[in-house]
Amino acid sequence: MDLGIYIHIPFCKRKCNYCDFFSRCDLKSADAYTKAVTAALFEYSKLCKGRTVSSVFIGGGTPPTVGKDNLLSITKAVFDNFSVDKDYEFTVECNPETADGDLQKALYSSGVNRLSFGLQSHDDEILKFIGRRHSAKDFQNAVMTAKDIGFSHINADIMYALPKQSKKSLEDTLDFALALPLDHLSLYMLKIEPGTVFYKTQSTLDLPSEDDVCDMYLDSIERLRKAGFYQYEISNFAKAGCECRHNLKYWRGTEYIGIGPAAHSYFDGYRFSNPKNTEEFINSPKILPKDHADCKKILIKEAEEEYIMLSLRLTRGIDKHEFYRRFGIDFDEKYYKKLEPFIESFHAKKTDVGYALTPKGFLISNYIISDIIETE
Amino acid sequence: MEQSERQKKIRNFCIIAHIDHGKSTLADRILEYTDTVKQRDLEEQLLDNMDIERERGITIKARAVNLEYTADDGEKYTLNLIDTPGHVDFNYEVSRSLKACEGALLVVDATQGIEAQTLANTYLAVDNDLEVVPIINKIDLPAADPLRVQKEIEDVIGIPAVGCPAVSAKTGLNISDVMKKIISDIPSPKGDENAPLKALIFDSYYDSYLGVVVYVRIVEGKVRPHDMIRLMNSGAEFEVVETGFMSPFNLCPQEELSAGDVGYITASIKDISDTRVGDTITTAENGTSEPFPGFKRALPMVYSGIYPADGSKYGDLRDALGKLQLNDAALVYEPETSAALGFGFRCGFLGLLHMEIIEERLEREFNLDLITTAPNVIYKIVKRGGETIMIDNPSNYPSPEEIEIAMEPIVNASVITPVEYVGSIMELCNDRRGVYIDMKYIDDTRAELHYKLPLNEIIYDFFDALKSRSKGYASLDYEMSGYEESRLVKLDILLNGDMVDALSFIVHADNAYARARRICEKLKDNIPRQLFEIPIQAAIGGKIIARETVKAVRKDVLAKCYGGDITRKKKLLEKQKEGKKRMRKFGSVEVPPDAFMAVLKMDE
Repeated sequence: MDLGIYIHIPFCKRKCNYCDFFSRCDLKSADAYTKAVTAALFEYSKLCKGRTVSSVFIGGGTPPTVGKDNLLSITKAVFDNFSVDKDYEFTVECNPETADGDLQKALYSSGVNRLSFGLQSHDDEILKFIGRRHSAKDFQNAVMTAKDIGFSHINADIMYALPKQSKKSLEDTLDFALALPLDHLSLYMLKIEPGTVFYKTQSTLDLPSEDDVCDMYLDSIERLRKAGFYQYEISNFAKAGCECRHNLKYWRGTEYIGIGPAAHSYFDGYRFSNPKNTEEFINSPKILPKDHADCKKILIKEAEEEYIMLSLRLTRGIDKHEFYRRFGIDFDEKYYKKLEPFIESFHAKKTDVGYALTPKGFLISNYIISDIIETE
Repeated sequence: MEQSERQKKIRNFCIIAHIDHGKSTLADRILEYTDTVKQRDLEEQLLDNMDIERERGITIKARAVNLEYTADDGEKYTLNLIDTPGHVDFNYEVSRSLKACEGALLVVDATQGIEAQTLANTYLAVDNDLEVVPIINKIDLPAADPLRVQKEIEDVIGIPAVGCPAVSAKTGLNISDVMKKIISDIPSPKGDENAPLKALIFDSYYDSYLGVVVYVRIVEGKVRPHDMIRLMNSGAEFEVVETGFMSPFNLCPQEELSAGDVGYITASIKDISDTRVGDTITTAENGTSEPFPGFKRALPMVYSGIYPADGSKYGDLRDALGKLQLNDAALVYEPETSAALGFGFRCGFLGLLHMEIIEERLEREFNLDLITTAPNVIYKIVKRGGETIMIDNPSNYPSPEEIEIAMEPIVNASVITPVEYVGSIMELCNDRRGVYIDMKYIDDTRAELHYKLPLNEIIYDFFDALKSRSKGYASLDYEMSGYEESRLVKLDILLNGDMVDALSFIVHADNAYARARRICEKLKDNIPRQLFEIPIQAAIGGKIIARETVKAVRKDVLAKCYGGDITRKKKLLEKQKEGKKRMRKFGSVEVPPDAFMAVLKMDE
């Protein structure tokens, strides 16, 4: 069985102003943390006999902040303990300023074959304002270094709806990225979350209007398509065949285990997550699904809802035949009536195998999905 | 008339006060002092039996309790304390409770002084020939000024207050002074025990085992189990099952009740509407021929539509209203159907507080989710051709060409306020179409304003506006004065071109445009964006006078689900789904229940 591994590195030099992911800026426990991760990998590997790891993703936080040696012992622990598919995908998330040639080379030699860099914007003023510590030039250098070392799969994270960002600025950011040797782009809408710097200062932020934000999204989809990057998920774009396999596991109901504080798992029919507490993870990492306080068995009814909710994030959409195979239910009979108004309003469309949302529909996907799914 | 020795040892009294002046706390202390209740049994404000009363610190229904008190000289007395409602909605009930007493303790807050309801209730007590015993409360507070308040009582009400007890009901300070005053100042009851039975109903409640328990003051004669009694106003006759006294925790059966006593009667009465407050009980044969004067049915002043948020709960709502009515004869309701809200009830209340209490009890005690339409008063319409109709539901309001004269209820309102807020309050009263009558200065710092105000202007949020303009110091009292001709129009609300009957309301023509605009704005804020643009329009007759638009939803997406955290997304969607379930669908437009309340809170 196919398995994905997500490893969370909960450290950053500094948190970005928009970020609500779990990370701390105190690096003292980086070594102890790495040991805990390798130990957890070892424990999990015992549960995962018979499963083949086809994707690994080290994210954060900022993974390089734990240092080259620590990162390498983590990658090594993966390969040492798990049966890894021949055709695997192994991504490490890096910030442009922390991933020098030395580190990149070491990762490449250890088996990492995909890098993901946060660009966010090509405009240095915006970068500074949102709390990034790199320039567009740093990003360009990091990507060119990666390319020279031999990485053929490189992703850039780009954000829109940022303060001070115009439509033109976003277009320029996309063009800037498209000129570089990337094969994948993640385009995330800024959402101001509680617990962030922006949350506190939001009344003073010069944010684009809702209409502009929607235009930014729809225009970007077109722009990227013309450049050969096809949308496959609400926020993800790739050259043909270069979709992030790890990412797709989340939307396709494939198993993944999450290691580290705040990391989520879907394993053996259970969903669970680790507490947002680095010390707790270091001192007593939990392995078995049932050891996690929030562990929940996903029963068939809920799996059906999840399928709809997750599939509709993908351009591939819902596959009626797959739906019938998995749940024994005729999708049209049960759901078409609810989907119909959205098809009529061009927020959704019929596909060869079923139904998918259109770009306009993705923008209101919460609205649509909450109309379609049933809850008790 | 000769008083019996028994009667000489009885004191029947009530406590009157403005809200928050400490009436219920004082009642608790008296209970405690007489050892009727041990301190450990004493829940705060014991006489208020209902949760809502305790939370709001107000008494909704009168309650009575029988106390034994041994005076310093060793004499034993029977005290009957009757707690009265302290809100203008329940003025009639207050007046009946007063009729059961010979005296009233007038509690005045030593920091606040006299308020509008203090005056209104005191006058009511004086009109009923009660001996009024002033008591100054809250003297433990730093801002207390008992001497100023004492002077105010003498100057404004004109009753002697020198040497009146100054107490802290909260701490129990000087409660013994109150007890002494009750014995020395309040007259003991009179009344011929051998005359035909004449008893006044001042309260009643429904008990599922005993039937209706009727609280009475025996004025003349005696009553005992197996007597056949007749309720003079309703004409209903019953055989008495039990008579007795009320203790704070239970009923204590007694062989009989006789003139001067305050007690209860049960007679297997099934329907509380047979035992209206103010009615007179006598014996079925050889009874008195003279009932108490002044009996009236408490008439609803404010009407509103109450609907279950979930249409399938209609039956539950009907049962719940039925149960509430068992204890509350002032609540009236009848089924109505709204195109917008489905099946529900048009309910009549004594006032806005009464309405809120009923709503709250329905939601809390019966676990119902309700949609309530804007409250309205009863309009009187003389149609062309001379027929007069009363309108308690805006949906039934005739079209303009059918109307000869439209009339609305008017109240005489009295507002007592610190003088610095007089200007602002006059402005408020003018805004609400008030007609100035006069103003009196109570003392250097406070004034009493009299206005004629249309009832429909004060049922929404007048009280809140009054409080906010006076930093909470102004108080309000009002009484119905009758109907007056008025230029009224019916305002209809259209969503996506369809009229929503439950949102229609009646308004004075001069205010129609402003109200219409505000309602459209409010609705726009309260109706979430949907798949299509939704026009909101306000119309009089066929003419659109205001319009807003709810734009179509464009953006409602969770862009990132990081690290496979899909539980968060799931929760979000489930919450959204729940929100949608609560909505009411009008044509293609979904409206959340809160939107119906938006019309109520227009003046924020």
